Amino acid sequence: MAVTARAYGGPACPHCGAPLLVELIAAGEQRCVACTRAFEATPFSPPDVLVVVQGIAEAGPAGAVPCAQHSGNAAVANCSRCGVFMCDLCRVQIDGRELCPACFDRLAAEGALPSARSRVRNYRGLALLAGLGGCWMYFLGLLTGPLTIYLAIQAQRQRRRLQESDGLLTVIAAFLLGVMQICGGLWLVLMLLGVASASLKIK
Amino acid sequence: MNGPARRVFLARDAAWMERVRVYRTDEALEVAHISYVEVSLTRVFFDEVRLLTLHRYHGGRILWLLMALTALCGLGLLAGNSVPEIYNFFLVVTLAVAAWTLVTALLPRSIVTVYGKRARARMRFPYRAGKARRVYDDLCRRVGEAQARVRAAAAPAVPSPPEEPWPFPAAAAAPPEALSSPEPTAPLEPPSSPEPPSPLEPPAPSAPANGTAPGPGTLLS
Repeated sequence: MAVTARAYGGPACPHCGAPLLVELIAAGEQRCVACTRAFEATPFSPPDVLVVVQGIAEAGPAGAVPCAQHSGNAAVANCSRCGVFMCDLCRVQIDGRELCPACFDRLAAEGALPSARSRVRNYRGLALLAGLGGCWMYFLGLLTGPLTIYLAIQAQRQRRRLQESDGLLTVIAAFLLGVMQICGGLWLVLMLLGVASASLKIK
Repeated sequence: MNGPARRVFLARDAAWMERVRVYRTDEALEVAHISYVEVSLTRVFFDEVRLLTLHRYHGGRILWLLMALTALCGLGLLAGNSVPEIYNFFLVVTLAVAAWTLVTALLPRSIVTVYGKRARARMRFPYRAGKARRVYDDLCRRVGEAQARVRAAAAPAVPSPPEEPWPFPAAAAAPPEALSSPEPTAPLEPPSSPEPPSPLEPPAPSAPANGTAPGPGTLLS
């Protein structure tokens, strides 16, 4: 199922969803004007991050390398991927690298920047789905069992990679379901072999 | 895991057709919209938070579901009235579901909502008002610290005092022995009127006679 992006319209009443003006909200108990229900609120005024960009004329002879995109701005760094000169407006610092916007877009699209990744495969859910589905179709246990175990291992790796603190029980349950499916599949195969040998003996 | 968890699971949120889990990282809340195939992440950065709310409410979809389940179990109880085993089974199940429904109806659910500039994170804490309060206070503290850090980084540096013209006041106030030097320095102010040359000394040449460049220190008129 594709997850669609939600429209977000800013702070709103947590009860009825009516828009709120943060400037008029004081910290503490509040009451919505629209629905008159109470909630506790703490407003904040997030600071605007201003980037001070040095002009090429102010940089002096030592820093007079222009940015590749903004010829009036002095370059402050090189892109760690393509080496282009960048000013403070262009510089993207992510995962210990300094990238120009074009390289950032490219690496983010390729999924090479973990911090910029906004969609990951849900190995935990897939492992659980394969485990439960494999139990339902028990006669395919020798196929779905290894698949469930593989997905459970991937889920555990993903947990470690994302440094998650939860989800271990789901991974263990999926792994055990995979083992059960393999055992059930082997039992089914052995039973079929026994039936076949018995029928051969009778003949 | 090797080290402490970077993403700490905080709470869930209910949504139609998908599961939502909220994690806390060092600099943001990560809202994971989970389907069976993939996880879509949205981040609410602490330095972009505009409003934090905590509220309680009774009921909700889960209450309606539990009431429907209780009604179904009650129907099963009535239907299995003639068979004691079925009746006992449905009696136990109906009592359990009815107790759950009662607890859900009586105990309020606490919800913490974080409104950022571009995204929102909502966490539900059913039956755990204390944990909701702790998470709310912890988030308020983290948001305040993050925004104070950004403000401190964006604040201009304290301007240095303007340089005093020489002689510095501190040097002038120093004891005379600290200022003494083996070679006497020339006075600062130029002499108001040139002294007349001593008759014992030969007069200094005013200009080279051979037309070469003047030496250092010579004045050209």
